[in-house]
Amino acid sequence: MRCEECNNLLEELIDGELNEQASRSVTAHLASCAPCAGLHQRLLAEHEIYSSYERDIEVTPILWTRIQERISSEPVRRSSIKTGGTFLNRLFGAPRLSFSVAAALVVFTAITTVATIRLLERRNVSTVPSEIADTHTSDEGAAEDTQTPSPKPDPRENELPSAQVPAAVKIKHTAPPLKATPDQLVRDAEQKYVTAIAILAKDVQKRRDQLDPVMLTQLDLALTQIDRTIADTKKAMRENNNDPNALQYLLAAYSRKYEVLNELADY
Amino acid sequence: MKRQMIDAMSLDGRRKTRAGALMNSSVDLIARARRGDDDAFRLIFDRYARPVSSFIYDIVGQREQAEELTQKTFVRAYRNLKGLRDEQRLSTWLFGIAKNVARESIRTTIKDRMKVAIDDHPLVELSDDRPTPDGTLLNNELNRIIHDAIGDLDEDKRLVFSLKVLHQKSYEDIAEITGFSIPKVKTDLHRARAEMRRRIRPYLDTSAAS
Repeated sequence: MRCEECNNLLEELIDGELNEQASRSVTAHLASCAPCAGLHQRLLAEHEIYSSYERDIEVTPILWTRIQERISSEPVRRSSIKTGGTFLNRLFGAPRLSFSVAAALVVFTAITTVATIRLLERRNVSTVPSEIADTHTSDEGAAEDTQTPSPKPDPRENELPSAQVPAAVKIKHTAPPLKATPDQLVRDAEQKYVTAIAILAKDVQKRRDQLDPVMLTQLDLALTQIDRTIADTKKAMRENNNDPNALQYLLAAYSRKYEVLNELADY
Repeated sequence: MKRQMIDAMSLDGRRKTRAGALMNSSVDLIARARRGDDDAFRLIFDRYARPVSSFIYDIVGQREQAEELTQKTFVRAYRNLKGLRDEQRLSTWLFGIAKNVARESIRTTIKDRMKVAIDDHPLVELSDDRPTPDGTLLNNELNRIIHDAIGDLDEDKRLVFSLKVLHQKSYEDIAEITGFSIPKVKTDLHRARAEMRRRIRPYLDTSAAS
């Protein structure tokens, strides 16, 4: 090893950043080169001086008290961390949330729930009557041939008075005709989500400069992943004839995006 | 070594009583703190307050300001605990937040004040005064020289010098904390050392002579 090369590596040697082989080469050179060994000694002496540097810094108990006061003054956040946070609690407890955002959230939450319930009901309505029809019109052997994946109903149900007829059957006869298709319901819920998300995103964007860069990077990553999930679930819904499971995932993804942005808005 | 040991320990008053609790791993402490366990976050504070505070002091150069920014750092850390992905790198994460807090502060209000403070104390000229043989005075004077020399480094060099020389962070960690590339870390560190060397040279000579 040449002296110049050795000198270039001395600081890294002292810093403990050289790999084993380089470290061995430098050490071997130092053992045989007095000028380089002298420089190494001077750097070590310098290092020693820095090691003796003492700042006039004391971490006093009052510092923790102040921190505790600051974090204790965030009851909503603390509550949400402790309990997992209810959706509404976070929604209405966040001081920076505007009324429009809160209202939008309530609306789309309600629509999401209704949409999901109706979809599930529609599934029941479309399956149960065919099963009942089978039991009314066919003999026992024909009933066993039914292709429906639902469990075979108890034949005694057909003998119940009308007040005890299963709910799904009653809905078929008493509920108003369901005009909205699942696709429309999804679009409706999606629109509400998108509106709420847009309001929050605008709020976050305004204060982007005030946010921690590390957190911003993580936020962008999280939002990218969520957007990808949304795109994937939409695709799955299209390919699987509005599969209710895909719908659940889609709405969950929107909900997650809302939560992420809400956290930032609350920050 | 002494500083490293102190950094790893809790605050002196609670060191003994909390010794058992300090055996908690960072992963455990973070998990508990995320669930709202104040004691866990207190332990994190106890463990890292001093190194974080010292680092901030290196960057802003003022004790009161360092204390205020340390407070801000831990409050911000608390708020962002969910955002910490690798719990094993808690220290690096905290230093990253501290760096951001310190830099933001410098950008907004402190920079001018620091400059005035440095101008008010032209300690460079004091290097003409040879260090006294008295150990305490020598240390005090040396501390002041190092403090002011660090303050005179530009911000990037100050960061890497503090993180490497005073906090023994690896190049990789420094790159993660600062967002610099490793070659830049090395270059800035080399230049920072050269600038610092010029300032402490009289003490180096004394040290070599003794």
